[in-house]
Amino acid sequence: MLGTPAGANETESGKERASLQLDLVELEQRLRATKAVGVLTKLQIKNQTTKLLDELRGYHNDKSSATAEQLHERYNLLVNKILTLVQDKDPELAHDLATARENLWNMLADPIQFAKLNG
Amino acid sequence: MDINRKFSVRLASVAALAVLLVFGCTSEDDLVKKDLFSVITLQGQPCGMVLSYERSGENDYQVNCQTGDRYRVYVEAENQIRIEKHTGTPVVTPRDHHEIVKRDLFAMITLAGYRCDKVISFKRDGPTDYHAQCQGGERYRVHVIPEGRITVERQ
Repeated sequence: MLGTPAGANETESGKERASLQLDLVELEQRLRATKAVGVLTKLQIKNQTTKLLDELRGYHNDKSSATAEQLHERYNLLVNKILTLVQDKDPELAHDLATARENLWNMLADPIQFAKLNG
Repeated sequence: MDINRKFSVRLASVAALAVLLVFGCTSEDDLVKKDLFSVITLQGQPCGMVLSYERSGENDYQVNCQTGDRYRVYVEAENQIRIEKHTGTPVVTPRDHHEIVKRDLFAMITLAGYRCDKVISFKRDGPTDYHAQCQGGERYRVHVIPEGRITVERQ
């Protein structure tokens, strides 16, 4: 597990997990729909998100040279960049993304939940 | 007097129409410029602001920046955004973690409206609290305030 307290996710109920996944899908939809950023910028964010997910996949499969701390930092920086882009024009989305930051990371950092996200 | 008044009213109407036309014509243009600026900046490249662009295809742009830099921004297969410098050199994502952090700090500083040609060094004061120094000597603190907003402060 990447940077999360030992056992924290084992105690999480299936309902909470489903809720987190729903949050992720909803946030993705809202990012797609927001008028705070242009189409090309959205594609760039999507590309950078995909790259981070590839790195996380590599980490969970022991095929990454990046450390857990580095991946966590890259995740935070990506969230921060998105917040910088949307916080003035879509403060509600920015607020919800900032609130979900840690929960989303916990989900990505957990190899089991991460595998489920990837279908 | 009356003629002067009529003339003034007509002049004001023409001026108002001109303003409307200018803003009407440039609003879409400004959105594209802003979009291109964000894409270039997110990739860690200097631009200042987009002065002009030419569309050479549906999603293919030649961009002229305030800094004098020129880029080609285009969308490849599977919606991959590509950026090339005017020399044809592709802009690639850094592999080194330190360079990725510098690129991202540069993006946040620049997107927040501050000047920074390139982040040359940074110091971490917390998981989301950085002090960055730019090539031109400018120093910034980039951090998350309690409400979750990203704040950039010149120091």
